[in-house]
Amino acid sequence: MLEDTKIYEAAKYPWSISARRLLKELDISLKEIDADAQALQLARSRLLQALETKESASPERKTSSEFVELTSFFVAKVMVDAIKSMFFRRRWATAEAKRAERYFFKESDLKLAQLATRNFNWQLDPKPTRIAGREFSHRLHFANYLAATAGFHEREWKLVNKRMVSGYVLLRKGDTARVLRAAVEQLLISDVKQVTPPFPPNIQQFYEELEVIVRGRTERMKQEIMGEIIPEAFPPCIQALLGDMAEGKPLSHIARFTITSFLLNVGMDVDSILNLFVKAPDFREDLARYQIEHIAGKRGSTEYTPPACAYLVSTRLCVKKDKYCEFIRHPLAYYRRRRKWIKPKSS
Amino acid sequence: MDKTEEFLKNQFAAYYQRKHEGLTMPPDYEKREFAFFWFTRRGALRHTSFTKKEELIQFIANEGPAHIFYSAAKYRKPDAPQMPLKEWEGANLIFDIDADHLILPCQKLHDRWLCTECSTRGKGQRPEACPNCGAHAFQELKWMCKECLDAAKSEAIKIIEEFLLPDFGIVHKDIMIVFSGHRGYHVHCFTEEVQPLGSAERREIVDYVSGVGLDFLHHGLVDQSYGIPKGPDTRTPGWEQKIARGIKAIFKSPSKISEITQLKASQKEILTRDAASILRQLEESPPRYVMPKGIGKVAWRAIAQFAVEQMGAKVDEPVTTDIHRLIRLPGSLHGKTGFLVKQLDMNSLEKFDPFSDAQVFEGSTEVFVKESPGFSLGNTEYPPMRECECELPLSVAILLLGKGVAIINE
Repeated sequence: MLEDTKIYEAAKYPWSISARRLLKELDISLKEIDADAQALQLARSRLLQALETKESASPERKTSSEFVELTSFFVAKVMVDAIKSMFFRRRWATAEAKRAERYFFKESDLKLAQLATRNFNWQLDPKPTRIAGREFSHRLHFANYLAATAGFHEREWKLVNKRMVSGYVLLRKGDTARVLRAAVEQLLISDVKQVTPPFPPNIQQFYEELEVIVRGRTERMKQEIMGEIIPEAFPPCIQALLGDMAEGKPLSHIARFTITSFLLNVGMDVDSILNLFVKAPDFREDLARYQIEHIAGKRGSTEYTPPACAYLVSTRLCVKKDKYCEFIRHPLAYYRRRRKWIKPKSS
Repeated sequence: MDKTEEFLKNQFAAYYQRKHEGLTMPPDYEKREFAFFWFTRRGALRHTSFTKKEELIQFIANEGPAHIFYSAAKYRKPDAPQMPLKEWEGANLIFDIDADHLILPCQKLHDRWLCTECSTRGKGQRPEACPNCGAHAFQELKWMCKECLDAAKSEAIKIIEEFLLPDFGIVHKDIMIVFSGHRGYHVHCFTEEVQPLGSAERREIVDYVSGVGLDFLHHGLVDQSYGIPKGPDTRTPGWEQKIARGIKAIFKSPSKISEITQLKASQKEILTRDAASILRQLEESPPRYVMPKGIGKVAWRAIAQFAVEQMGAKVDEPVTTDIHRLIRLPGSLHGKTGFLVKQLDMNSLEKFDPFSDAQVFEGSTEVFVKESPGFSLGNTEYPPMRECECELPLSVAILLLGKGVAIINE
């Protein structure tokens, strides 16, 4: 009976410390899972659905036991580790974290706090508080809050828009679940194990199939950004910077970095970008070329992407936000989406 | 070697030889990078570390560096030559409050700029482009006075008393206040929990203390077209209380109303006329936000926004968000002024006067002053000077030499 509860909990939160401990105790090998068609099937649907929709497939209760759920997570993680695609890993992490969030809603305030403390070493206390007519269920130390929500882009999650007292951010239950979901996502993204094929035959076949699908999907993503450049699909911040450049206004270092890295990422070449900078008051071709090439990764090992929206907001480069901005958190994501819409119309 | 630079180097070295009790080593200093800038040569010495305070003292007493910095970050290998090799282990949370970033009337009196293209001169903060030739390159002379240093001091107090203590819950013993030796103050937080925070997280902290991205809807300001209007309440902790106090402060000294640029002239008139009655209603419990006729939602938001700007602290954002930042060592001297980079606490901060309490040099010396603005130092007023050979107190001479407005004649 005790074992059942343990497996039930582990199936719900397979990334948790206790689930990992249980897996170790049960000492299950890939070879054993290889023979379990149900686990493989569930792993497949978890991964494929994550890849397409960022949602995790909910198990079919009739056919799969909690044990199968747990092992399907385990084999899915092995696949993500083996395929080594950051894009795939992110999608999977998002999906699994969302799945966990659905369970968080149903937990007691105390249980949520325990989960956070045990797994993320958070200072999260269940503390019912009523302030200005609003009910809060928990308080979370601001450092934990910030570490979890750094990637959030909605204004309501900015620390400045939260109620903070004596170092603790007050959260409603739904907020607590959402912040915990972010922590789960970060955990799954950062917990990378070195895994290399070959695998037992069924898993090997599954792996090869997946690799083709993932490669096709990332190729498609690249196609969506690269190719013909459509300036009308640039986000407003980038359009504003281009306007400033055309007028010969001096740009700050970070503004120049933003515009250059953005244009490089959408496929503009170094010379075309250089031409845009000619009007800059302090233009020096040799220096400008060097900097552009550096950002393009021709001079060092790093290829840069432009900063995310959150950074542009605090550096005051986020201007003239439009309705599409609400749904994205990165200027390149804006471009990718808008391009899809604009392109069919123009061609 | 230039005589002026050599003089400064020797004075600094001699100071460090005779006085170094004030040098405050940061916690875990063996894990921090130290960096030095010089009087007599260009460039900096980076990537050094010390395992004993005595080693550092001996080094600076020999070398007489112009500036001494240490890293807010702790590293496993602080002396590794490149950042990625250092193995970052966390960083203190630091705030830099610099009079440079405040717009103050005194700047017009003591700051100057010179266009390097057409030699047009002006006073105050340099313009974005030269009004005469449109160039963007300037030479600047920035000075400091009691007024701008007091303004920087109130910002430092604001960060601590309005934000770090009540909202962030940081305790007094984890906060260190330091006079920068020039135009501002540094606030260091050694709290364990902030150490691992990355740049994006620290940016959120800057946005919090400066009120950037604040949305009134989350702080009690409700747009209502009927019923009793609601607004921020001073009894509610966090930003709501600050906004409420900021709004009250505006109506307590109605001359502030004219500073709210988004208000129309007629609105300013109405608000100034009704200030006393508005304030009375705001002081009720709960406060009543009753808008006089002619003051709509947009105007109220402008008032609230102004309150946020008044209550928010003005800090130099990149200093806080840079997790590898180098910052001045308390107890060292500032090479541009000769002032002591002095560690303070909340009590000493209130009374601290940099123009006497950060002065360490005694005696006098002869220098040639090219051109200097008027200033006061150690209870003495010095008039503007121009092309004069004069005998000056050592601390004054070092300030003028450090600022580059005087030289030691060959």
